[in-house]
Amino acid sequence: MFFEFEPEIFNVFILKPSQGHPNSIPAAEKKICKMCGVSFADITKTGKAGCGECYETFKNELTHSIIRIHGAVNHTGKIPKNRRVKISAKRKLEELSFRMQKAVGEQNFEEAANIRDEINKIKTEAGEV
Amino acid sequence: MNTAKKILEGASPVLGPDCDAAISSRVRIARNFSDFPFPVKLNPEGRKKVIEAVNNAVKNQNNYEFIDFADLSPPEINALMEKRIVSPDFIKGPPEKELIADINDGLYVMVNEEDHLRIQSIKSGFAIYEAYDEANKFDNLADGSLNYAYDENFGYLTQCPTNLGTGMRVSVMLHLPAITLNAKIQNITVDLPKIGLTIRGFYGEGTEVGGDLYQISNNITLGISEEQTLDKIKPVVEKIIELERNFRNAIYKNSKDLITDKIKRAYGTIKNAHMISSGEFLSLYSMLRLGITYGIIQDIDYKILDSLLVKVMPANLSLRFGGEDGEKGWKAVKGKKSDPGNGNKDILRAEYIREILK
Ligand SMILES: [Zn+2]
Repeated sequence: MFFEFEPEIFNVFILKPSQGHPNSIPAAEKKICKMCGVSFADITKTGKAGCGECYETFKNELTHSIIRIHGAVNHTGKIPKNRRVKISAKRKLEELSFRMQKAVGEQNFEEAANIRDEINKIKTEAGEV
Repeated sequence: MNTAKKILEGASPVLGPDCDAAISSRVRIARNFSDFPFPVKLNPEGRKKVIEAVNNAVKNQNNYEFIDFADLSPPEINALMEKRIVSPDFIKGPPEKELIADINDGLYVMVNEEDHLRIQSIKSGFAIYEAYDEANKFDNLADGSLNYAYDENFGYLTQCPTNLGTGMRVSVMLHLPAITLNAKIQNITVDLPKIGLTIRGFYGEGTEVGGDLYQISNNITLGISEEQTLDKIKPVVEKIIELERNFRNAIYKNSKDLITDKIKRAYGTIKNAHMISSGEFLSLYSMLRLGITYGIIQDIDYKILDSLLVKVMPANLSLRFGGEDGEKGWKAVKGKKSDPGNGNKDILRAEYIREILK
């Protein structure tokens, strides 16, 4: 239950050392997240992830809860610098292909062709997205 | 004067937009770095590395001050918490933590709170876009030399899934005495969650909301952009402010003598009382603020009055009366409600208020 915040977030249970990040606290059991060593059970217990990698490792398990919290799993906001070109190109392509299909549906073929050109241009500029 | 003192002394130099009803606007952005586990999963050395990395990323860029928490006294730390510059979680956490401050621009960054970075920007009045710009500026700087933990679907990755996406919490603190008097807060409380916003009493919940102060904030951060979040809050707050003003006008029209009497009595009390508890202060505060709006109170302004909200809290009081290290005052005020020390605190509070309002 992600809404239940546990006040004692420092329940550091140190048992077996794991092969995680050099600065991570060794985890309690054999864990799945390679970077911080937490298990999905740990995350559900505390309502907190241990590191960014946890979200990749437990993506399937977490998606349902995240939808329950936010009603969505599609980030539409800001993008970090190192991902900006690629992700914004991808977002733009999604929008354009939606518009192209709409234009085709309305038999507006001239506009559809224009949009297709724009799509190709972005694909060339951004490399394979 | 050390930086913590400067933060605590500093009042906002200007009155913000809609200051008759809006006290302040805040934007908080949560960020983590992909090269490190979240702070709670880091050992002391790891947390130090995070601080080092952040400092290196931003140190040459601006007039930031870097406050190592190891250098602060307990009253100073608690006073910063009372001013909501740092959070209770931040104080409770392990010692390797830092506050980065740009006092003039109202920017305060907690390093190694729940997330590696909690970028906070505070502006007076209703100024959420300005507050966002300020926080965003720091975000762009920190983004320069460290990689953020980010997922295309989940957005910025945070320790708590409730902050995923933009990692941004926008909040506006409002003074709503007239809406409260007309018992209309309940309507707002019911309606706002439907559009992903929350309103709650700033001091206490339910019928006993101290100072008639409320906070409106967004509770969803994923699937909505930063701009959309701000654009959603703006008209809602504007509408509430308008409603508050209409009720204020109606009260003045219908019960001018009654409300004038209440305000003048509050003025008499705050200027003359020998003891003032924090609860009583909040009631007086609310009446006086309304009195400034009506023009009934003329020798106190919003700025001075709002600064009292923080200054008369226990740790801030103890800093004021306990000298440089705050120890004497600290001992005087840390007693529980039944302690004789508490009466002493109420005397100090009344004294300090009079001193400031002189
Ligand atoms: Zn992890």
